[in-house]
Amino acid sequence: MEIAQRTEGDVTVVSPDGRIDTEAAEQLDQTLQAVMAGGSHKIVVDMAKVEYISSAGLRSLAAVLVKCRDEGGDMKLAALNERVTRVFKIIGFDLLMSVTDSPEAAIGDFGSGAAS
Amino acid sequence: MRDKLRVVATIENLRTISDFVREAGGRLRLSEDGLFDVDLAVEEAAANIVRHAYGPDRTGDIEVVMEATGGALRITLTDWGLPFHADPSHLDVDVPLEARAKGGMGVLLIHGSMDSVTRHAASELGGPNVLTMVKNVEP
Repeated sequence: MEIAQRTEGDVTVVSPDGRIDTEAAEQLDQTLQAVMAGGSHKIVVDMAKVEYISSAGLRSLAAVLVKCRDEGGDMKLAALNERVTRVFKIIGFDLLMSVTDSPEAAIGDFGSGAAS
Repeated sequence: MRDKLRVVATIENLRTISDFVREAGGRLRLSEDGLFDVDLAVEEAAANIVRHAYGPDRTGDIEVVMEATGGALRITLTDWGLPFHADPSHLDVDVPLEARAKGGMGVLLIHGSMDSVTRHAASELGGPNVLTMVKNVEP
């Protein structure tokens, strides 16, 4: 799975492309852990190109979110498609995580201090 | 239609299983939503077997059977290791993020994706543990 990364001010945008299955979740987790190890705890995960996610990916996102918030930051998700949104709703992540329609909106929420 | 795949229960073979499920489901003309749900449920069930059935020092197989039967798709996963015991709390939705970060979501996703789920644990160690999941196919 390809994972693109960019920074917008003090926000890091991570953009996985493809299926986040059990194997790919390990790769995503390593990427997000490296972002946090580099000192960034304001993260947007742009899910526009994610067509599938299973519990391994959800577990990683939950762990990263907890760590970002512990460090005074946050992790926001953007552009979930309908099927991925349904997975989030089964677990209740739609209520626990900040989800926006676009990465730009998520970046804007960081800037405005909008609560998750 | 009845398709069968038997592979060693490893993380690497989860993709082999997924490819098998998607190909068979596609031939059955499952909708994209149906394929997604079946793919997810089988990955979660297979991952549980990979992690829990055989322990760190043993390997074993997982067998996946997909069968079209009377307007539904029946998927059976069989392993010959330790039976997986789903804790009823695995179906709780109201769970804090910190707990989710540790795992335990697979069972909830299986039940949320499939129309029925039944388990039959082997009566003795080394016998077959059978998980049967059914997805109704849209008319």
